[in-house]
Amino acid sequence: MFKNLTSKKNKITIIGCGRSGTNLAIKLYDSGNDVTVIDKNEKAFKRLTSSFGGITIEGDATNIEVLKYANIDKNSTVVIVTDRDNINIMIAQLIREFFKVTNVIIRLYDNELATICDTLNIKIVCPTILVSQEIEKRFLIGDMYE
Amino acid sequence: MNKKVLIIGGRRKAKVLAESLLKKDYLVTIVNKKYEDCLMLSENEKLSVILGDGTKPYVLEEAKAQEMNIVIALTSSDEDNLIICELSKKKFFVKKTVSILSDLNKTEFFYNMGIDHVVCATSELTNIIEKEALLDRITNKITLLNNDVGINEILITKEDLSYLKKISELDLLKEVIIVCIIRENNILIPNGNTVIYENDILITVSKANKTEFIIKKLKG
Repeated sequence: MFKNLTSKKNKITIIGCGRSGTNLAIKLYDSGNDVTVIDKNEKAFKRLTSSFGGITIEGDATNIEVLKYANIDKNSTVVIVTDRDNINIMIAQLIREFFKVTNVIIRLYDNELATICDTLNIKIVCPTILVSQEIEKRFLIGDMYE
Repeated sequence: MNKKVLIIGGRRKAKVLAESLLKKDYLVTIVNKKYEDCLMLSENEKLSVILGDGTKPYVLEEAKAQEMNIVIALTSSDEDNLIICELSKKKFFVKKTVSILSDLNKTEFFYNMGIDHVVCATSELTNIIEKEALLDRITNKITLLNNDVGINEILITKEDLSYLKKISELDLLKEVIIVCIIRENNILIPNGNTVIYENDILITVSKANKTEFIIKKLKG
């Protein structure tokens, strides 16, 4: 996915401007994409570097009006990384339902909630699983065969 | 066999609803994430109360969600209610889910996500207040189909604009249909020539947002 997004200009909306959101916003902007960041707390945008030239919107993304204001359309890529799983799922579903966006990616800490997203074609990244996989891969597998 | 109901969240609402359901012989389980609320709820010995976050699958499993006939989500955040109902449907295969909702704009969305009954607490409440406020003008007001269709019951007095007028003279256009007139306990199906008298009760059907228009045309 990342390769795709770096090759040509894409319209990307990031919801939640925490550590992950900020990092991603800066990277994607630097590689030449149209980036919009939404967060309900204006202070969150302080994390963005001064070179970030994308759009920032202060607003609650569970509100449909805010999503409309962010100009999301079906060709957008939407990344949802607020700190609450339940909110991420609801926003993802709202976006699928109202804007017919095909490329929706969300972060879910609790992988068990993934069941809900299956039928709706929402892409899930689960940090909990990634961390355990990484630990296993880097530090444990070798030991097991010694 | 007694029907089983699981109620999640909602302090007082949960208590009142649970007590009413217990009287109707339902088996009621309540999940609440606040310790104090759980203490308050467990004063009733017939209730099973579980302390936990009902949006977590393992909590729902502990509450035996898979055995429930109905799951009712009463938390104060819309996203939590949505997750509770979706988990109940998709993971625990509960037949019937009910959710309250505070953002009226999401009613259709909630239905589309597979929730069986959505109750918008704010709009229900404002409807009731509006009904009370208009009480001298309208006797009763009902809305159906997600608040799209409005049924009004209107009592006519001598001072009203429509008093002694024919229905065809009322200029109601096609916006409003007078379905029937209740006159001295008889039900009358009106046509354009029907004259409206004092103490008639008119039952009208229209779009829900036409209430003001109807009052203006009938009462002046």
